[in-house]
Formats: sequence, C-alpha cells, structure tokens
Amino acid sequence: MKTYAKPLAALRTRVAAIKNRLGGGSHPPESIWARVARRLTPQSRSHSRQAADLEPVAGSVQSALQPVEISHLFRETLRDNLEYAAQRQRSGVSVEYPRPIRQLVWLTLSMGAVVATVTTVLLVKHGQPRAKP
Amino acid sequence: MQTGDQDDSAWLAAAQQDPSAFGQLYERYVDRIYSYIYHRVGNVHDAQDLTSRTFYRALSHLRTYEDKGVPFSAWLYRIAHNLVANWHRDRARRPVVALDESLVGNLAHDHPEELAETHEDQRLLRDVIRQLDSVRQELLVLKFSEGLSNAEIGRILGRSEGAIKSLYHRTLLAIRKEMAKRGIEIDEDLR
Repeated sequence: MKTYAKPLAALRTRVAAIKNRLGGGSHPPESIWARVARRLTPQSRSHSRQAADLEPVAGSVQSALQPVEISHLFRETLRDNLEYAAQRQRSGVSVEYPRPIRQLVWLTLSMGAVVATVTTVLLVKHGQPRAKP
Repeated sequence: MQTGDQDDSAWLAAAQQDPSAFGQLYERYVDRIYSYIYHRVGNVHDAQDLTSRTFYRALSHLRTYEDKGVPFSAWLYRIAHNLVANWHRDRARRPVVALDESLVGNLAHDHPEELAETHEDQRLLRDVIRQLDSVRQELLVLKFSEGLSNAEIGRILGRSEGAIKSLYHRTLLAIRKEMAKRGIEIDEDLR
C-alpha cells in the first residue's frame, strides 16, 4: 500500500488542479445569472458616474427654471371671470373664452379684404364692354 | 401627489355637480399652470392669455372628465400642453425672452459685475433650453419648475416612467454639449 501512496497523492493534486482550471474545485460553479450580473456591473457603475457628472447641469437647469410668480391682479381677475362663467354654465349657457379684441380686429379686416376683392373682380368682369360679333 | 389627488377627487365631484365649486381647483393649480406656461412661451402676456384659456377650457369640459387613472392635475397640464403647442404652431418661430427679475431675484450677490455675468449665463442657458424640442422642454419644466416625479411626468406626456428617465438623461447630455459649444460655464454662481 505504501508504494501506491505517493502516486495517488500526486494524482489527487493533479485532478484538483484540473477541476480548479475548469471552474470547479472547492467553489461552486458560477451561474449564468451571476455572470450576467458581473458583466453588467461595470456598465451600471459607468451610468451612475455619468449621472453624477450631469448633476451640475441639472442644478444649472433648475436655477434657470425657477417657478415664476403670478401677478396678483391677474390671478384675482381670472378667478372672478371664472366664477361668472361658472354661474352662466350652471344656468345652461356654454362657457367660452372671450376672444381678444386684437383677434376680432384682424378677423374683421380679413373679411373686409375678401369682400372688397370679390366685389372688385365682379365689377371688372361685368363692367367690361362686350366684344361685338 | 396622492393626498392631493384625493382632495382633487372630492373637489372635482363637487365642481361637476356645481361649477361654482371650480374655484378650489383653480386656487390649487393656477400658480403651477401659469409657471409651466410661462416657461414654455417665455412672456407674461401670452402666459396670462394661455393660463386663462386653460382654465376656461377645463371649466367647460369638466363634466366630460372621467378619472381613468389620469389624475386631474395631469388632465389640466394636458390642456395647457395642447394650448401651448397650438401657440407655437401659430407663431412658428422661437420666442425671445427678456430676463424677468422674478427669475433671478433670489440670487444673493454683492458684486453687480458677478450678478450681470450670472444673468447672462442664465439667459444663455434658457436660450439653450428653448432650442430643445417641445417634449424635452416640457419634461424639464415639469421636473424642475413643477417638481414632478418621472411617473407623474410620464402620465402627462403619455410615456412610461422609464422612457421619461431615459429622455431626461439624454436631454441633460444634449444641454451639456450645447453649453460647452457656446462656452457657457457651469459653476457655483450659475447654480
């Protein structure tokens, strides 16, 4: 038995070395999910680093987009107008945003221009002397 | 937003029964809607006009509103968003905005030259933001001016929370690139 002890020990050592090389050995083999997670870790780290790099930009944007204060007069006037509109709506009248005067002026001018153009065209057409046969 | 949504539901039910109760919802949201619109259009006159239109439209469509998982605030922002989009389409040009004192009034500076430099950098930064497409501008305003979460912004813009997070990241990258191109420095004074 003593004569086989040394070769057996050497064989065990070699087998253990091969197992280690193949990913076995005393540690359990790495699962596919663990490998995926290991591969993704550096990427997610780079993402968090990128996010940290962008923090100053976010801070600057935040300071440029601070909430704006509304005019007190405008706030009160709009509330009163909405209250009036709500009362009208309750009594069955449809609520419409009052059309600004500027828009009405443009609308009137545009309609006037169209009517004038059509009238001119008709006058020119009917006013021309008919050619004699 | 959860508690606010619960309050909204009660006020909304009351306003749907009696439009006079709409005042509570108006008081709750007028500042936020105005601020949102102001940052999108860049001037007080149009911001006031569009804020009025938003609330008039909300009042007139109040009875048709149904809570289908979209909170009232998101519905209101959606109306404002559509009106602002129409406004931009009508003008088909980028607005140029004078710097409002209200935007920079709380910056503590003793030196006027430093203050002027900060104002100029902020003006340039706002200019960069206005060059972004409308969805990105809206995302930034809702996030920074209104303080909404990605999920809330997603509900308003009709996108998923993940999509908003990704878009936000890409938007900041684009801003940083543009700022570097224009030579705008990001320092403590600007922040």
